[in-house]
Amino acid sequence: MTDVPLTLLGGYLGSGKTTLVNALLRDASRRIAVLVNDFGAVNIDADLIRRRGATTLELANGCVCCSLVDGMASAMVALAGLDPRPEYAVVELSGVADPSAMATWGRYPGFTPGGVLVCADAETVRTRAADKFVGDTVTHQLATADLLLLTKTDLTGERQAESVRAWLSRTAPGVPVADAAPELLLDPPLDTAPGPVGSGPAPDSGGSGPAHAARGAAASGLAPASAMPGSAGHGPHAVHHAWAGESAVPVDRGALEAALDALDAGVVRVKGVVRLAGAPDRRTVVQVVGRRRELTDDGPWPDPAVPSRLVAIAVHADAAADAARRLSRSSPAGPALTRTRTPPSAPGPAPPA
Amino acid sequence: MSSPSDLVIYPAKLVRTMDPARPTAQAIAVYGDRIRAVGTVEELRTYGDATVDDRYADKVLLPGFVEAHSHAKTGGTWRHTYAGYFPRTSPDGRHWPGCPTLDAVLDRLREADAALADPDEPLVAWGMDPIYYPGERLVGAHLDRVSSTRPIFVMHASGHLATVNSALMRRDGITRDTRVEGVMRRPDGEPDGELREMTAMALASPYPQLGPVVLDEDMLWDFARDGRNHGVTTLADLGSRMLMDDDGVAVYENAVLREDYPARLSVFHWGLRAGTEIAAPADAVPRLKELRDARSHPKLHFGHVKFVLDGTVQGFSARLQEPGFLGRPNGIWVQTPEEFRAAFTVFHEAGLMVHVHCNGDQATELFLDTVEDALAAHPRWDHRHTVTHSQLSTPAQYRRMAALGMCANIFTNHLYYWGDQHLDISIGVDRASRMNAAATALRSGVPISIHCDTPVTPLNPLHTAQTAVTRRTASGRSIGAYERITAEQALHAITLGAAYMLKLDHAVGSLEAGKYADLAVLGADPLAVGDALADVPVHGTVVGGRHFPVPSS
Repeated sequence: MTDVPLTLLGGYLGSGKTTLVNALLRDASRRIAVLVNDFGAVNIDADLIRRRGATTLELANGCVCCSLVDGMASAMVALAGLDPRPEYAVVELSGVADPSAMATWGRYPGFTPGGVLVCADAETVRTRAADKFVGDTVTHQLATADLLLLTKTDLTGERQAESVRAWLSRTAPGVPVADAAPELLLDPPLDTAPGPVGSGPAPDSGGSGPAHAARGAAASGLAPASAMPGSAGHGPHAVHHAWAGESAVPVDRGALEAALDALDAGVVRVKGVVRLAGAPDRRTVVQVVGRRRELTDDGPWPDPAVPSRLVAIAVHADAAADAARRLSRSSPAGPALTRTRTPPSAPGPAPPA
Repeated sequence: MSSPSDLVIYPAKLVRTMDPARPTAQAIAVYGDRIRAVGTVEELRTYGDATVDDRYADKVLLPGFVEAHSHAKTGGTWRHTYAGYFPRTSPDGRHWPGCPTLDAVLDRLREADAALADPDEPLVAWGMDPIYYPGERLVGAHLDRVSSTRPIFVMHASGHLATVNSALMRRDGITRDTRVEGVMRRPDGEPDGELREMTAMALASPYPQLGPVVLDEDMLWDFARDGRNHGVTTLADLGSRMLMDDDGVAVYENAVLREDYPARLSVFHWGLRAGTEIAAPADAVPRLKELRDARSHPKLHFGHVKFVLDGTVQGFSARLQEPGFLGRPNGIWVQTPEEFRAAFTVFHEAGLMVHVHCNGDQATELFLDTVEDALAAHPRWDHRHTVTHSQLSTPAQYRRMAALGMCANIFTNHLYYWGDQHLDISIGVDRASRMNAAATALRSGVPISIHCDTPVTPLNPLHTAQTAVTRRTASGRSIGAYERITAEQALHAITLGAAYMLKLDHAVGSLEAGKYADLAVLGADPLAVGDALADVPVHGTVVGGRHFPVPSS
């Protein structure tokens, strides 16, 4: 049974967490479970609600929303018991919570860490960080995140947003900053069928599904990443880019780790299931969320015909190209993670038309 | 309203009224649920035909004590096994000796194991505090000696750790492959039974059940019996999540309005809006006013509100101003200052009284700033907003409280139960000597009470008063001799002082004509025992003229 990635979403009051969660739930194409502090703030159209219980809300699209009112332990027990299991879980923390301290829940049985994401409100974060009561709380949230999501840049304009990004790079050194978009809460899906979409040069086309993927992996030639529109309304940086690659040949662990460590900070998420050269009969899950990088063993490799796969999301095209360049070199056989594809839709919610 | 034959005169060894206008008397006359007068028996006979009841002739009568910070769910903790270092009395009157050694803890668990009929029912124990067993560490192997088949879960007093046995780990699937941080391990990699922090503790199936307890009538009865056993006749339940619907209020009414229910309750609304079952402040206001005006009863009071701003001092989670904890970062806010300000302002404008949990002085500061702003925008007289716990409030803050018309309910019991840790570990000798500054508060003119916060520390106002007088830690060390208060001041704090901040001082807290006949029945005068107030025996209480003797006495 595959563990459910658990994303922790923090950030101070008014930093945009609830807006992201609402957007995620509304447009979800995957079965997502969300734990929320304030059940009343979940703003979902009534006709999307299938069932409303005392502490759970079931949506027509299969998503579930659970209240944290009885505490994290009770909510996690309830979450672990959901049937069918969600593909993904997101915890929306209170404005004063320390998200990094909650990260231990990512190892609760049945779950795997999905990253600690913290929203930073471009309008107010600097004022909040200087507040005599909550300044240390806000600063700690920012500095211990895996990835920062900048929100409300549409209200501030690009100039202030740029100034806030520069301030964040000093306040939270080493923590990548991405313009907020709901799809960044989740790992990119690995099972998206390849296909040419987006604005970049068309990747290797023709056919779809695993058979094609395997064929593609044997081919060579690295196409540039394609642009993938993110959610509108998050400023000019809210267009996210994806790159995906496959390899039929086992991947060298050292080369892969070196490539992950060297990735451009604009590569905000990588998810993969790979066969390592040192353990070709094992599934190794690769995950990057901002500055968090992890390779974990996930049981035996099911079928030798299935290739290793990696998907990366970047906040700009250069970063996606960087991911493509570095990750495609991490196979001992040279550029084996070679085929670029762009998911037909954004991971998670579909982009607005 | 009373016929003369209703009048009952209770001669006593001494009646200590806590009313400075008539501080002592030989007897008290009661009609119905009220006090007619205090005086000599001869004086009291002049109020008409009266029965003289000698049952308290060799007792000392004080106003029933008032506890302004306690939790009705305390009764629920006694459904599990007490395994703490300090002796405690459960509400049924049973005395539980403290467990002075780890072996005594295991003996306690063996007794509990033998008492459980169902061999599969988990044994859950609470109160175990490893700091009293230095050099030893409770692990699963110890508990396996109690039972190899019954799951055992021992919650530590800190609330941050638990120890479980092998049977529990087998049943709940805690193995060498469990990756959760906080699952402590033996050198061979097997879990050793100690679970640190919430994520690890939540692996044990009994843990989530220890979370928010749903209050029921049995707990309310135990709450009041606990009060009776310690001379308490008025208790605050600070606060309740059950007041917004009639079913919740009925739980209180069904217990407290019974004539034989041995206490008055003031039930505060839990104002912290953490989920759906807590109403928004604007919605809570009309409901609380309705409860206050139409549903309150002489024994059951509604209308006040409780908030929590920070964590605890011993847990390093309180919010401190400079210079903070000893070598640890500042603590946590339980809610954002913005949300607190907004909610507080709604209740303040509506004329309701608010008590706010502030352990650290930065939490106090936020509350004072908030009250100051609220008063500037919406002046109110006699609001009695109260800083509750007020453990690290500074002299400057007490001066502000006085200026703002606020009260302080001081967590004096901490000096005894955690004083040694405060001196050595959390804040150091200087600051610990200043904490729970009852003398500073009184010098500043702030009305105070002192409290236990049961179940956090045991309900026992005479012991709380003794601690305020002696400022001795559990190990006997002095903690801030200049903040000691007199026994008279301490007795005032646990009677009228507490009644004042519940806005019940017109009705309880002293023995005056017309007030409720609520008495603490004691074996000696607490002002004639030096500083050994806690040694004064409690024989029972009188609530509204009804007698509630402690069962064993």
